[in-house]
Amino acid sequence: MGRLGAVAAGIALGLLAGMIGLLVTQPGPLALPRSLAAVITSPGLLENVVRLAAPIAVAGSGLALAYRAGFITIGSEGQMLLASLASLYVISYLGVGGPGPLLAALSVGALWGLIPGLLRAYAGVNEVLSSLMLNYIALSTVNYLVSTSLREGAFTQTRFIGEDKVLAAPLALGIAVLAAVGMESFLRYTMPGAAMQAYGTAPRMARTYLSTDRRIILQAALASGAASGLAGFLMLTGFQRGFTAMSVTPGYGYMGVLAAWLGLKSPIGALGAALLFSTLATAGFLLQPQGVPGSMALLVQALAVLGTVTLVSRGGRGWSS
Amino acid sequence: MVELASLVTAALANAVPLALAGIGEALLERSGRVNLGVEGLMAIGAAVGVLAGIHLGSPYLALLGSGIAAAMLSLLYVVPVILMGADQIVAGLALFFAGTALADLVGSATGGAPAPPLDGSPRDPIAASTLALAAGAMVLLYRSWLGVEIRAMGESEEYAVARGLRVPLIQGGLAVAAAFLAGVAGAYMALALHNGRWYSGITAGWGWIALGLVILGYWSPAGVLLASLLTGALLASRTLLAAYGVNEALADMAPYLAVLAALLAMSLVAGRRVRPPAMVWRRE
Amino acid sequence: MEPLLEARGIWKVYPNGVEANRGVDVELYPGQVYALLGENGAGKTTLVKILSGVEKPTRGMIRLGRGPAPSSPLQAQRAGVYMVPQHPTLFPNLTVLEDIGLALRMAGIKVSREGARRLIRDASARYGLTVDPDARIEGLGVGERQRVEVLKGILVGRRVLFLDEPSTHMTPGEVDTLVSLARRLAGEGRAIVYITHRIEEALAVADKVLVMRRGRLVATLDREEASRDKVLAAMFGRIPGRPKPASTRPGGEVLRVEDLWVPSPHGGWAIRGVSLKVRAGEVLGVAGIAGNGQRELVEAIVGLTKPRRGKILLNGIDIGGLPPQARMRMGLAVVPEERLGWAVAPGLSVCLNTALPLLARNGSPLLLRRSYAKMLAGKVVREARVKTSGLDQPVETLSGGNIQRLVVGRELAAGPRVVVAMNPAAGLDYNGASMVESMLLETAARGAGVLLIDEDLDLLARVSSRIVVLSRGTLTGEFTPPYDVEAIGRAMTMG
Repeated sequence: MGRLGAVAAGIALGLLAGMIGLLVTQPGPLALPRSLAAVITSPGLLENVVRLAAPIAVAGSGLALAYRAGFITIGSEGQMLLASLASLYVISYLGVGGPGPLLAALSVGALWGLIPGLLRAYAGVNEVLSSLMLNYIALSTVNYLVSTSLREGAFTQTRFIGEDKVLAAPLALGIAVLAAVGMESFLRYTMPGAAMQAYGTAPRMARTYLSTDRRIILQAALASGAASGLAGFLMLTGFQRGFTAMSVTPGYGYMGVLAAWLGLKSPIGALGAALLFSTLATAGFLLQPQGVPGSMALLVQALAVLGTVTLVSRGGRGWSS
Repeated sequence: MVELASLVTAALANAVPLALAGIGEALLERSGRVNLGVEGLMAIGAAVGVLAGIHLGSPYLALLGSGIAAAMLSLLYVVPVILMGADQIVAGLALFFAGTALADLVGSATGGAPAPPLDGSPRDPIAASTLALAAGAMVLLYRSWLGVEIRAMGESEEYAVARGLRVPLIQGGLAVAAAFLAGVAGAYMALALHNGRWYSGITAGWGWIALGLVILGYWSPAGVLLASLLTGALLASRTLLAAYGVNEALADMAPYLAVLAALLAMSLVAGRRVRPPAMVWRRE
Repeated sequence: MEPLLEARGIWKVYPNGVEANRGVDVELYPGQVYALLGENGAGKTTLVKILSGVEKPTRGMIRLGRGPAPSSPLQAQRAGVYMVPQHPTLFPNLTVLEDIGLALRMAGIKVSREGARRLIRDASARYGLTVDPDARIEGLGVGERQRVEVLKGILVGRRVLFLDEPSTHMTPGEVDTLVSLARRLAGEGRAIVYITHRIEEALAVADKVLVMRRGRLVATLDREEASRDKVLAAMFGRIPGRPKPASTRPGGEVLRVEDLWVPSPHGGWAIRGVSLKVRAGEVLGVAGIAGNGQRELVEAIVGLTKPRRGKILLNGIDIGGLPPQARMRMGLAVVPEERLGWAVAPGLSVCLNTALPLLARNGSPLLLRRSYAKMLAGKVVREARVKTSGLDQPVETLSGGNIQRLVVGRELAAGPRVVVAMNPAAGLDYNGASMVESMLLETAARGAGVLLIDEDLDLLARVSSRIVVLSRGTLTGEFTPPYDVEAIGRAMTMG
């Protein structure tokens, strides 16, 4: 079975598991294909799919790049959250438009993403755990700001950006495609990109002949952080628009993690996976009124990734593979 | 003084789930595997614990059910990784997501109703069992031939295979056992620390904290127990911080910051010189 | 007399098509020492792996006494058949007692801690193999580890004991002790199979000399009839010729190491005050047993570890503070010991693995031009005669010999002033090894300085202009041709 065959089989496995899951709930297993068909055939819902897919795709592309370099960050969730809040601040509190909110998101995402990179490059702290801790710290930070300085009105919530600031779906898609293609080209057609890939499979080879550990890790951390920052901007201007206090993070950064793996650590692949995920998530929204919890979509996604990596694997293990 | 006593009680109660999940994972990591899905396993444990508690009436049966549910879910890790050679990092992450999602499905079936809670005091048999578990794990690891075999395969799987050690059997067994403990830990969180009520996100990253505690406890069950007690105290001090007027959201941040700082301190002190006893955390 | 082990018509074809064994018949009788000879790649190790249950033959029949073939190493061990591996496979985090005890239990000998301790004490006293049962393996030197492996072999391999290249990490004196131990063990009724590619050792130890070539057993000689020439003829089919060192006059100094001190990752020093010079046009050989600081010396010169003290000068410039890539831009080339993972990156194509290290040396800009990379790689592949199905082939699908040709070709294509090579011919067949040797010699002839760190003293003696000996992190001798191999061997144990 080829790698693409494995992906297809993994996705089929995930969908099948989702349908089995629906056996026990109200609408029955056929509800899943029915609602998927409804999503695909409705232009309004497709717009929704695209808006949702854009941030997942951009975050996933950046993560794919980092994973190719063997930098297993899961920090996209927190980076997106803070970057999103930063662009909200620039738009609705400072009243700055144009590239301002985008730049704020990019730099906040990159800076937050740089932390696990610095921790690993200079102290050898494992980035899986540090980036996860940073996600929870980001969540608390947002909750803190929402309940204090950014609080607006009687409820613990921020201002919301106006309808006029919401990004058109085709534009969001365009940005996502551009980001994925850019990231893919970086890997293929630049020396630092090639060095990253070598480092991902053989760190010793890369540090002997190509680059230094620190440079590669920091590049990967910065690139994936900036990508998550852009994703945060797309999340805010696509559908989030403002924040209330949260007990859990929204989860789009985590979907980016899954998209990067389902896309076999290729930025373009992550874009495809993100489109699939957002279609699933939108279909999930349709099923919610019928008593199907929204997390059904996440379950299908996780199982699809698990199926895919199992079928693709050839005994790979450890951090680098 | 009353306040101090309640703080200590809360600290001990917090330490129980962290130690349960952490000790299981520590044993697994000593055998050469890491399961990043602890948080997902704890989430499913919490949801099943509340649901089972409501239907069965006994919190102890609920804990048992949660352990079994998490052990079954861990097959999503064991089969791909240990039997089919899939990447353990991705599989662990996927298990985290699958467990979290599944927990929402199961948990929403509780409809917000409470299960009979555990009192979460040190007199609770679960606290004593946790202590016994740590002692038993120490004996297993350092005083038995099985422990020698576990430590050997955790040091070099290549040699272990060459020498005919029972690598998949022992790693798979430990992965399932660790998942059982993580499930019990999740249920304990719901039943003892949240009055038997389930809500989405109830495990609040404690599974990830437990993974960090494995490192801080230096992959020794006794060390993990100690690290759990310290972190438990830190988590308990949230209420104290709130009493001193610290913003609640900022107080929530404290344990994650502390674990991050501890990981950093430990890497700076030990990282470059000492090789972790578990190969999975080693880097070239 | 019944043979302890009998094998008929053993064929082994690996998935990559290599026919490692092609119809081998062997009978092993008690009380006999068999020397199994053959050059690298002749199929010795495969045969032994099959006989000890580690691998299954593609075809053929094996009988253990009256019983059937063991289908796993553990079954073989339970039947008293054991292989002492070439490189110790002890677990560094265990104590000697735990490691041996684990092996005994795997072999079906259920012992307690105290029982294992008694067995170890008795055997080590009886055979003069001193080991401390409570020492942690990671604190032991290679020689001590080898002793633990042999002790384990004695305890488990009660009927048939295979010793796979046991002298790899030993000094000449230690080899003599091992030879007499092997004879003593055979005298107690075991069959001993001593695998080696060193003819003198085989002739000293064996009752019967078995010679393999290209997967076949081509000669079985009794001790009396075996002679050096007969064995050589059987091993190679002819007396082989080897490339001769070019007799160029050495030029100016290109590499200088001054009073180098490198800490060991296990505490203490790996390199203790090493000073050496390499001149243009010469091959400086560094002899020594593995684990005496060779790897650390390479890493320090390349720039992968920071020496605590000392200077490294390349063409007279101090490169101590520079990262590896800067050193390479200044004319350093490296042929590392490990191929996959250090010399080349698995998962990347032949093209990228060849071109990237060359491009990085040119101080190449940001962009990677695919066509230029292809051209660079194509040239190396042609000149080093690397057999590939195409430049896009993943590098790990090449054979070991082809990867090594690729690496040596790539490093030499950079036009280096200094080449650092560690065990470059290890594991290669005769042709591959010859090619690597001549490539290094040619480079020296073209005016580069070559630092050749190798465990194979024969190879060093063939190609080196001078030889220094590295033992326990210090240089314990310097030799010029004609080489006194015995004196070099003695220097390998000093320090």
